[in-house]
This record gives sequence, C-alpha cells and structure tokens, in this order.
Amino acid sequence: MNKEEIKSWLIKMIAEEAGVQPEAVQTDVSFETFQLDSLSMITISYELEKLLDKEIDPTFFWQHDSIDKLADAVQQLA
Amino acid sequence: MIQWNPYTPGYFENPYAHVAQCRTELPIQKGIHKEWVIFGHKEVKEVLRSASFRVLNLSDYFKEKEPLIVAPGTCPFLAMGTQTWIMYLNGGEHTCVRNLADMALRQIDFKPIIAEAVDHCFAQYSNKATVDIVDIATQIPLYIVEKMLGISGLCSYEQLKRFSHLVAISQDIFVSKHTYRDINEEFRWAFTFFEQLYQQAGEQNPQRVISFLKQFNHAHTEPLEKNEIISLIILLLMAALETTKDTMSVMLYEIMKDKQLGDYILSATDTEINVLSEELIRIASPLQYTVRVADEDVEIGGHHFPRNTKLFLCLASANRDPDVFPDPDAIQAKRNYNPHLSFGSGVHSCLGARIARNEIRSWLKPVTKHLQHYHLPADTKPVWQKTIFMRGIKSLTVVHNPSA
Repeated sequence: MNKEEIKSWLIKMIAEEAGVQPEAVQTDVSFETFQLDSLSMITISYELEKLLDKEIDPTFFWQHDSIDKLADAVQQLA
Repeated sequence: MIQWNPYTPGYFENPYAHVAQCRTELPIQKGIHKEWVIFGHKEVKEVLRSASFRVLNLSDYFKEKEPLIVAPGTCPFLAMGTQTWIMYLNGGEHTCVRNLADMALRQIDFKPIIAEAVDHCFAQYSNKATVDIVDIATQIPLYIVEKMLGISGLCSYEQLKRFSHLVAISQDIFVSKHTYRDINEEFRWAFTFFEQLYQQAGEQNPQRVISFLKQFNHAHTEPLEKNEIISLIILLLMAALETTKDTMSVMLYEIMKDKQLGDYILSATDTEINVLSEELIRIASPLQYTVRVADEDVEIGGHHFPRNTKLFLCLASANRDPDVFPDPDAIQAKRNYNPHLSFGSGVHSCLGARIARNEIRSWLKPVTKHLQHYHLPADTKPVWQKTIFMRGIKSLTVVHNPSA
C-alpha cells in the first residue's frame, strides 16, 4: 500500500471510531482532536496489523500522533 | 530521557532492563500512553498502603465500553463477569466480598490436595520424551482449582486453560475490541457452566466453595445476587489458576537454567525452602503492574498529583529496586530481608497469598526432583506471553535425559 492509500484507510477507520464524517477528519492534527479513547486506537492498530500483515505496536499511535505522521511511519515499516 | 513503553524491542522477553532504566533515569514519569508510572519500591509501597488512593473499577470501565465492544444484540458479559472481583472494589463493598471469599477458601484443606496434584501431574509424564513446563505449571494448579470448586471432570483441560488465560487478559492494557469479544464469549460460557453448578449446589455436593457461598448468602441480610456470586467464583478460578501458572512456569525455567539452584532445593531444609520460596516469588512475580487512582490531592516522591490522577505502579521494578534488594536480578537463596510486593501491600494485598505460599513450598522439592530427569537443550528460550500487566511463559519444552 502506498502512503495515500494508508491515509485514506486511516481516515475511514478514524471516522468510523469517532462517529464523524470522513470529510471532517483532518490528517495533520493530533489523534486527540478526534477524542478517540485508547480502546479505539488499539482496535485501529489491530486492524492495521491485519491489513498490512505486519506487527504494529499499539503504542505506535502515541508515538506518531497524526494521520500524516502515522502514514509516514507505516510506510517506513514496509 | 527514557519513556516507559512496553513495546520497546525485547520487552516481553525481559521487561526488567527497560523498567530498571526508567527507575534509574526517571522513576516517576508519564509513560507512552500519557498515564503516570511509578517505579521505585518506596513510592510504590507508599501508594499501595495509602488511604488517599482507591482502586480502579474494571467492571465500571466495561459498563461504559460494552456498547462499543460487543456487537448489537449480543449479551454483554464483561461488566457482569468482573463485578465482584475483589481487587477492583473499594470501601465497604470490598471488605464484605473479601471476607466472604476468605471464609469460602478456608473451607478447604489445601495441603493434601497440593500433594495429590504433584503426583497426578507427573503420573502423566513418566515416559514422555519431552515436556512443556507450562503444562506442568498449568496441570498442578488446575488440579487444585478443580478440587477447590468441585469441577473435576466437568470440563476439559483446554477449555479451562483458555478461559483462565483470556479472563486474565481482560485486566491488561492495550487490549483490542476483538480480544474483548473473545473474552466476552468465555464469560458467556462461564455463566452457563457455573449457573448450573450454583443451582445444584447443596450440602451433599462436592462443590464445597460454591455450596458455602450459596448457603452463606441465603443466611445473609444483604445477600449478593446470583450473578455476583458467579463473578466471584470466576475470580477465584482465574486468580488461583493463572497467577500460579505464571509464577510456577517462570520458577521452573529458573530451576532448569541453574543446576546449582536445583541441587540446593533438593537438599534444603523446610526453613531454607520457605526463604527461597519468597525469593522466587519476588523474581517471578506474574503481576507486573497495578493501578491506583488518587482520591484527593496527594504528594508522592516529591510529585504533586491532583485528585483523580491515575497511577500505574510498576511492581516488577519495585521488586528489583537495588535500594532494597542488593544484586536485585540474582536469585539469592538465603535472602532474608525480602519485602517484595508480588502480593501487593495494604488492604488490597493478595487474598490467595497464604495458599500460594503453601503451594510453592509444597511443590518446590518434589517437582524439582521430577525435573532432574529432564534438561533444557542449549539455546532453548521460552516463548513469552505478549501481556504487559501479567507476565508468564507461553511454552518451554524440556527434554528427557537419555540415560535416565
């Protein structure tokens, strides 16, 4: 998956978990903005792990705390 | 500066190097998840014994999250299954349920059961070429739990092993909704299973602990609900099986690694076994963290914590604090001063500590004797569980000695 595809996937997942429209999800703001709790973030990391077939630490979301930063970090894993 | 992160490479194999670095460089800090973590023995013990802190209620957390975790139309069991778990209760409710559980456990004479458990376990392994020490560490406490609850032969080894492990994971951090759903299914099984036993329980039944809880409850002015009793039974099962399994598997690994330790155990007196047991409990503590919440503004280790601050207390680090335990990573068989926090401290100290100590003191010598016929092949490493709050080995195979 390229960076844009990862970003689109993250937008969709975050919109779903935060209960907002995908258009409202900005990619350069901290995940805290979406008021996602740790349960949602851990669940997204689990889904990301399945999507990429690669181990993703749940703490990845705390270390790379926006969609842009996370997509960059995920790409570097590949 | 070091930041606590249990996903640091190598953490699951050896968390002690990372927590020691945290304790040395920043003993009170905000970890990767932005909660406060405390690493020093003095401060951890102070919080455990302080009346200014309460425990976090796991069942309330599940009540809030269940609509997000469990699929619509599915019965949620997470909050119900954990509602009378003693370690998550506060005040009068905690005292009441703790006393009830303590009385129930005192109905059983564990000593002969522990001896039977060791014999029963090794009868199955007498001719096996290889043995997974986690199976030994599961079968012995499982036999005791089955006798304690009167459920011998009523459900399979695999079912109880899976149930106990998943239910224990419900207390961990970084758990996904998918795992919580699996745990929910295990609770569903347990409620069906134990409800039936609860209905049948009476004076003549072998389910002495369950019968005691039922009878006591009937005579009480403010009885617990049936589901609250089942939640308590689930806790007794999980705590007796999972913590013992995790403690024992790590202890057996240490014994298999160090022939001198095995020899010492075989020639030790009862007093020496008691002292060594405490040391092994310190080293192998399965409970690595516990959580407290400040009930008021409070100062710990020079840090001010406002009311409602959540603190992670790193027992794993406190148990290896060199200010209290010289040469903390070494097993010192004769370590006399051993104020470890493996069973916690204060009002929430482990209810099963007395039984756990008796178990370890009883099996240490006979199990070591049996394991003398086995060796750990060179370069064999354990597969560790990927859990943070509870540490234990997932599997470790030892091989029968050729000439034995």
